[in-house]
Amino acid sequence: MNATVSSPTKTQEWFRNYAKNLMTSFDSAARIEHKVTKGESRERQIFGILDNLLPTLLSLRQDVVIEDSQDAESPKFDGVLFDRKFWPLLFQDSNTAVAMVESVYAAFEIKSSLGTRELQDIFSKAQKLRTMKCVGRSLTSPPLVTAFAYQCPNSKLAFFDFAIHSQKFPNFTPSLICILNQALFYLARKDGTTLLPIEQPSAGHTPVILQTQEDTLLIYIYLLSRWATAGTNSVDVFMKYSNKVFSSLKGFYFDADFLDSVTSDQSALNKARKCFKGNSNKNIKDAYVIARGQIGLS
Amino acid sequence: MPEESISFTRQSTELLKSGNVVGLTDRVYPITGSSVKFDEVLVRGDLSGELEYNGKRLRIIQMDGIVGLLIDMRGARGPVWRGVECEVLD
Repeated sequence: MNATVSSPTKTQEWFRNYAKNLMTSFDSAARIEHKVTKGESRERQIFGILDNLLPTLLSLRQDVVIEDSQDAESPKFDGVLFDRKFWPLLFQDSNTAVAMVESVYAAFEIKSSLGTRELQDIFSKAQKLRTMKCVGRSLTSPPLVTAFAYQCPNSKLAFFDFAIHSQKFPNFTPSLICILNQALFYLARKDGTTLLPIEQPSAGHTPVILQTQEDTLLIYIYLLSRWATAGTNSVDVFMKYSNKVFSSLKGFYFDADFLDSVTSDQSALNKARKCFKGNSNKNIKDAYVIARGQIGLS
Repeated sequence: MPEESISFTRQSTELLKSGNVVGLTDRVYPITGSSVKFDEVLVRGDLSGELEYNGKRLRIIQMDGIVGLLIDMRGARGPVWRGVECEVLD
């Protein structure tokens, strides 16, 4: 599952340096006592990187509220990837913009640390956005949701919660979550013994964790670029600049019988969830084996 | 243990023969078993023998029918082979 290879390519090195710089800025911002200012500083840091590196076919903008034609309004998202060439904004001042839901490809949430409360906030915002009504020809219907976190105290537990949520509410789940220098959670379709990434959540998808460690930012940028350049093959070429990383990736997921058991029985859910809590050094596979045993699965 | 390789290669509707596009399926079909049945294949070349579809090797074993020119809500196209059943060679 480790994407690290013995001799990293130049591209890998550059992205690892970006990740290091982000962590340095994150630590520097920790000295700011005012929580809102600290949060805004960290949002600007990651959006600065995304703005510099992502293809510009779609635009990136911070602090956007999304509106639909029925006057339903989303919560404010930390950022959106949207089309500004063909779609008007509904409102804009120096800090906040209101965008038409049809013009938005993806909405971003940025978290300093990804704990249970932060995940629930992401799920709640995703649900509100993805129940909005798109009319006519929209960029993607409904918009996707992605989250970026600088840290996560227990990525095993966070992935367990992500997988359970996506099983219970398949249409309302975020498509991609990045935990810097740790892992990516995303959705896939199983094709034989291969996992194929999918963007639009729907029933039957498989939630997957990629333990990409120091190459996490590289693969996050790749996946976002895939969204931002839909219909072109530019990211297929981008992938070749670090081919060894992409060809060696393996994704871990929970078996369908496990997800069915824990989502249909609250007591099984509680027992299984306990196995992913606590010692954060324990491997997710070991925790999973224990959890299966705890709920009576072989 | 549920852990698999990830393929970032984009899934396509193209049926290839010796690297050339010889047919287009009406949508992307996942290939999970030893056979696959495409509802529609838009013919672009020689579909006989070994074909490649999203990295898998296939061979057509039977079809339900051929339409020379098909006109429906998706526009006019042809020739179209319908109900094309393929054996998966991998």
